Amino acid sequence: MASLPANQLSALGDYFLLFAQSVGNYRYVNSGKLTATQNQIIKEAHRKLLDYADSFYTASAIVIVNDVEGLLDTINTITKQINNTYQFLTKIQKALDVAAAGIALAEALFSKNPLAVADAVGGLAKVWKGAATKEAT
Amino acid sequence: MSKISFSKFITTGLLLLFLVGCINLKNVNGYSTHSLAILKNFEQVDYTFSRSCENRCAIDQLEKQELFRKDCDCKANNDADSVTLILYNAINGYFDGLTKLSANELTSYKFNTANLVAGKYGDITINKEHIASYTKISTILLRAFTDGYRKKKIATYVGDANEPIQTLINAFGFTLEANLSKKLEVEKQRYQSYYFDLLKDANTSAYEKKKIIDDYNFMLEKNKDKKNQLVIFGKGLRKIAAGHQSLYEGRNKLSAKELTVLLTESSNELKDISTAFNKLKKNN
Repeated sequence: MASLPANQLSALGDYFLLFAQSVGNYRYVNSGKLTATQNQIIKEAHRKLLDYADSFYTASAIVIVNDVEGLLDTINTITKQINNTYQFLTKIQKALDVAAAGIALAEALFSKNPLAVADAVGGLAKVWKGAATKEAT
Repeated sequence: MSKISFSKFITTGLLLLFLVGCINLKNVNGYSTHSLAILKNFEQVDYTFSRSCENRCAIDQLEKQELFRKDCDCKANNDADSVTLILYNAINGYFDGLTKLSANELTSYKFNTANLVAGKYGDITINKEHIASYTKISTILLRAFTDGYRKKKIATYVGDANEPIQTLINAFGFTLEANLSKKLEVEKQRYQSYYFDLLKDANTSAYEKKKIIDDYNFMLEKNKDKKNQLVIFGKGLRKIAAGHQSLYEGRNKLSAKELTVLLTESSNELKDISTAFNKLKKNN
């Protein structure tokens, strides 16, 4: 059974479901004519046919993974690439913050203002630390 | 920065702005966001393969009138749920990535020039207008570079993903509509058989018969609601697949009007399906 493809297993499920429905309907329509034993036999047959239909649908849902196994790997690889690109782009803002802080330091050094230099060094250190922390998380 | 180099800087910026200004990632983001919302509804579907197995055991218990339920072997159904979940996670993961990558906020970079002060720095003179222009152009250039980069990347990913994603969506829809939904039909027949015998029992009073009919109708209603959830979800999956096909066919002209129209249509249809699904959930 497991060697059949998903669509054929599902089609078998449909076949047994329809079969079961006919048996069930026969019992409901003829209940007045059937003996208790006959009623029980037909009821049991109905139940078994439903069990088979149920099992075919379950089997179909399991074997479908064989039909798409290679494609699952492909899509998971593409998703990884997309997420890597996304990660790369989110890192750009961190790099920009660090670069801007660097420019501020360069200006401060250029102006030879000790207080401005101290502020700018502190600013760069803060931005760098923030970027590094974000990176770690 | 000399006057010449500054002018060059602005010209380059405007040229790049012209080249990529027509790119509209908004359509891609709108489509993938709505697709993701539809996909998330799967987590709200009130029926699984395992549940169908447990319900079968519960009906058996009622048929046999046993207080204690015997072992209910649902291994195969648990496996079916695992496979379905693998399909869902793969499709959901792809659309999640596409949504994040096409989001405008992603490349709203700002070059912080708050500390850049006007003045003469050796041979370089920076005035206030220069600072304002520099900030503006830097932002535009960054945006132009990164939006162009994203457009190129998205076009490649959509191209590579179309075939596998179409097949995976199809397989996912098939599992839900051709298998899980049919199990609801099996379950309906099991209940029908059980309630039929209860009703036909000669010892059943008229009031008990009314209760049996009420119970049966209630079960049928619940069964129908679950089926409707799967039908609407399946419809949503087909729209997602059609939208991705449009995206694939127009991936190298993301700004084309036709693609905008197609993706807007897809997004609107996906939104309608999401609303229909939520309405159904509220009714339950």
